[in-house]
Amino acid sequence: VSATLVAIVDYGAGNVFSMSTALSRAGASVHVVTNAAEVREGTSHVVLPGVGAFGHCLKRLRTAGLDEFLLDWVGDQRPLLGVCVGLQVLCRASEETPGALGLDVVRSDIVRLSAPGDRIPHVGWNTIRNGGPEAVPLKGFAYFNHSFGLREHRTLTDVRWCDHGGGFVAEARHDAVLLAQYHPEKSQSVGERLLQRFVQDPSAW
Amino acid sequence: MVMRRIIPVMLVEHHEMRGQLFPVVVTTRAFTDVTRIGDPASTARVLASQLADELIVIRRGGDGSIPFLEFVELLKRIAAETSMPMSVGGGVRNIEEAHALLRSGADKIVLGPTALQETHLVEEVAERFGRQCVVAAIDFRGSPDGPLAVGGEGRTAALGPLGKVLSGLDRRGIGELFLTDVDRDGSGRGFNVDVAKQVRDAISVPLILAGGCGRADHILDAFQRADADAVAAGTYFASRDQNQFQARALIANAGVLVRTSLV
Repeated sequence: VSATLVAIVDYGAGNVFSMSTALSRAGASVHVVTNAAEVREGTSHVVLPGVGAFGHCLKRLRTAGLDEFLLDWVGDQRPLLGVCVGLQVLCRASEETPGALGLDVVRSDIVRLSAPGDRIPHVGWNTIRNGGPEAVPLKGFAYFNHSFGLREHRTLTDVRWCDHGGGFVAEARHDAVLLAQYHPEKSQSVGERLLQRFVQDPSAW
Repeated sequence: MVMRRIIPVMLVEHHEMRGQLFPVVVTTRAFTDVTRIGDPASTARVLASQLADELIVIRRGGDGSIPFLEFVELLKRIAAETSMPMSVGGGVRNIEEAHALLRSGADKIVLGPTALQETHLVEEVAERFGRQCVVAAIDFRGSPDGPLAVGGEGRTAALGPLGKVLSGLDRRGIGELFLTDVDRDGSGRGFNVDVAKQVRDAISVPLILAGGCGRADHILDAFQRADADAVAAGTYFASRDQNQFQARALIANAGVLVRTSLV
């Protein structure tokens, strides 16, 4: 069996090297693309990594024509992973850059985390939990570094939450799109688990 | 709840051996008095195995400074061997250099006195990469008139009262404050909890406290008495008699949230 061929989108949003290292460790064959033409034949999975500001990232995606490519990709039910700001650009809008339009795959808005008594940005290792009344933390920690997040949603499944001045979406699924507000490429066992899940066929998710 | 963080600092510079230059991790006392510790990638691997929550990697200035492009390659080596979150800086001059570091394993950019005072890099990095990407490094020394922010080589030049330097900063779009008491750097006599407490109350972003860490109970003090979100240290991690798992157990047993195992 040949390795899953993954394209990491370089849209000026930072940590391409860390993401490709982590995906290689998860068994993927990785290449970095700055436009749709660079996506190699046979590519089955696409990653939007994330260290960036909402408005700047969307501007870069649109300038490179990657917005259309990503919307077609998602429309064809092909697997995509959005990490941190890569999750956020798939939403409708963000308080980080008022007026900027997101790709609106996830039809919800990103809001500024405000947390009386808690520090913003939310930086460091935190537990994540399933929804529901039991709300037991899952084993291990995820590494977060963000000031904005998804406090509510309408279309997501497999949602795992994190709490910082209230709950926000830490990890979720939307059809063949996986979303992580934390950085799986930096999150050791929790991150490895997500990346290993991602590089499979979505039918196995 | 987000865990409190314990963060090793790796100061790196060039070291000449048999006519060749090698990057090496060093520790300092009061930002001078350099002691060589070891190879950066190996050191980072050891620190990762000892449960470091993040890594701060700083390129030292002066004669032994590593050229920027070599520093980028070094960073990639560290990132390839560990998967720790990294804050990286030391003489970052412009947004292109910041971007190069972020592409090579860095998650956050550390901006020191020169960048903070003489450039708009804070604003530029925040605009492009988000304010969570900006770690502002402020160094201070005690004086009869209260703590003074300092800059320049050896951190001997006064930049103004600490409170005044900080008050402008919070508004400029920083993500974290990395605060070091230069007088305590490398001394192992404990953090400056009094100053840290005042600073913690005056800013809204997470505080990383450095300078003076010598024992696990110093770390506990910084968390409990100064309410620091994180502590950082160089010399403390370089001394062989410190067991990080025991240190974390001591801190956790006192009721402070820290990670105590790798899984």
